[in-house]
Amino acid sequence: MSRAKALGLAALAVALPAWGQDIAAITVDEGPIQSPRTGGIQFRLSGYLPLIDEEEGLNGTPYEDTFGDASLLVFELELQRYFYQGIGTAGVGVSAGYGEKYAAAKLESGANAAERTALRVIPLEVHGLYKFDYAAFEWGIPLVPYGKLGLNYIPWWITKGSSTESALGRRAAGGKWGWHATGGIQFMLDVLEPRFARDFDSDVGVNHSYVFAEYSYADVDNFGKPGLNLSSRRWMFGLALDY
Amino acid sequence: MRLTFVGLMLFASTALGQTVTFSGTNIQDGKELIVSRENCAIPRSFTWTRTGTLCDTLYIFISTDNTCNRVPGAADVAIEDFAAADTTTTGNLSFRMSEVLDRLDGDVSCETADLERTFKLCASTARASATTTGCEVTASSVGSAVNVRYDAKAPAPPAAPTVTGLDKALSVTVTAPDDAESIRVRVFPLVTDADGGVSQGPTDVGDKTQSLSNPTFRMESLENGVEYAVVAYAVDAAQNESSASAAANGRPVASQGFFDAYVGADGKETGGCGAAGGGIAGSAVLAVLGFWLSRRKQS
Repeated sequence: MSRAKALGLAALAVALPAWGQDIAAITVDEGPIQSPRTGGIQFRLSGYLPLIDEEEGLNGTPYEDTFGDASLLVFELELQRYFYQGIGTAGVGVSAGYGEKYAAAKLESGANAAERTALRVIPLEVHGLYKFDYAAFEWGIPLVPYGKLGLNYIPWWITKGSSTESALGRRAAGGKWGWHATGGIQFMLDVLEPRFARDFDSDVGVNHSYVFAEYSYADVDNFGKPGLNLSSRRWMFGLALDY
Repeated sequence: MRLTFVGLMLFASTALGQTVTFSGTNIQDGKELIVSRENCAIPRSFTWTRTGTLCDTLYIFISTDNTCNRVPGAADVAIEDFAAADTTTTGNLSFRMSEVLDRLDGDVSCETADLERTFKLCASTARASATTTGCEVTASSVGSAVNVRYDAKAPAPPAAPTVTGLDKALSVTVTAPDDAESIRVRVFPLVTDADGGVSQGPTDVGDKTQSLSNPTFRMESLENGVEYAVVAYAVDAAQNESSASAAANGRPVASQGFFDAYVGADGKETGGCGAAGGGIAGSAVLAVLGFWLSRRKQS
């Protein structure tokens, strides 16, 4: 062995431990650091077309005659609390929103009056929910189907001009109870920008963010009692955050 | 030497830093005190607050030539003097605009029609000299800049308002002149005269004032089918009111809102919160909220 080869082997032998250490530093996977996930928040928009004209015994279509076939634009905020996180996530949610629809009041002739009339609602919900997010977390499939089942309460009031309307001694304000079943699907936005998602978690504690579409079947008529029928079948769209 | 210099600088900074600030409900935006003709002879009050140490007498006065860098002269209205030894730092003072107008040349008084003049509320004193141990020879202004404006000129009347009939009400829209700050609308019933003519009744049945930024009025408690005359007035910042605009007539008209239409279609809704159906549901909501809070406490 030449002197040069011997020196080379010696240098390699000295370098090996350091090389090994370096490789280890590169390959050790620290894994994603996530903050605890305890709940969620949803912001959603929907077109709410109450089934007022479907009230039993109603002689005409007062909603359509006044507002046409236009929906109320409703914005809702939902807060969710998770109590199970395993094969999917289960929890409870409460939500509140606001919607209004304005139209011209009618003159005796049927023509539009200068006066305005409006239907205003504050949809409130409480429900249990289940999200099948196991596939998203374990297999990387970014779609999360979910369902909700719960109760509705919708305070409502009808105005004409600047005050709540009255007719035949009845004041046009009240609240309606009901129930709803909702199904939807969320698309996990984390897959689009994983690094941004990690920063979002470490900076503000948002574990995952989603856009979603959900369909709600709601019967809101005081459980079948006569009166204003605020039931609806509607699609809702929005943004959801897990925190 | 250095210590003396620092001491001098500290003394000088305190003396040079003396200021008088004027405030109070009569001073709008901290900049202007407006006096109307109605208030011309009534005392107008303000609050003064000072900081720093006085070197010489502090004068608070109204300058008729808008100059504050001096002691008050014969043409000014002296309001109060504070000797250098006086330790009062705040208080309330007042003046009458009629006294200020008396100082002006010519035959000017509260009775002078359409008079508009601006004066200055001043605070002045001789400051501590920055170079010697005494005070400066001349007084300089130490007060916050507050104009005192006498405004006896009413704004021009608005154009005839636009009137629309609502249910037991009239919607009135007014375009007021730029120098107005608010608008007043009055509604009068039209009465039939002995000769068969129709004229504006003597007593209004509606009177409302709104800011210029809200020029549409809803005049309520009127009778459907009855014709009313509506007039508008422009009111400026000094509360001077213009003469009445040309009258516009309007007639409230009955209309059906959505609930009228619903009830007319035999709708059964009677209002109310639906408590009967909601007892169980309400309990469920409370249970969920309780569960939520307990989980939150555990986590």
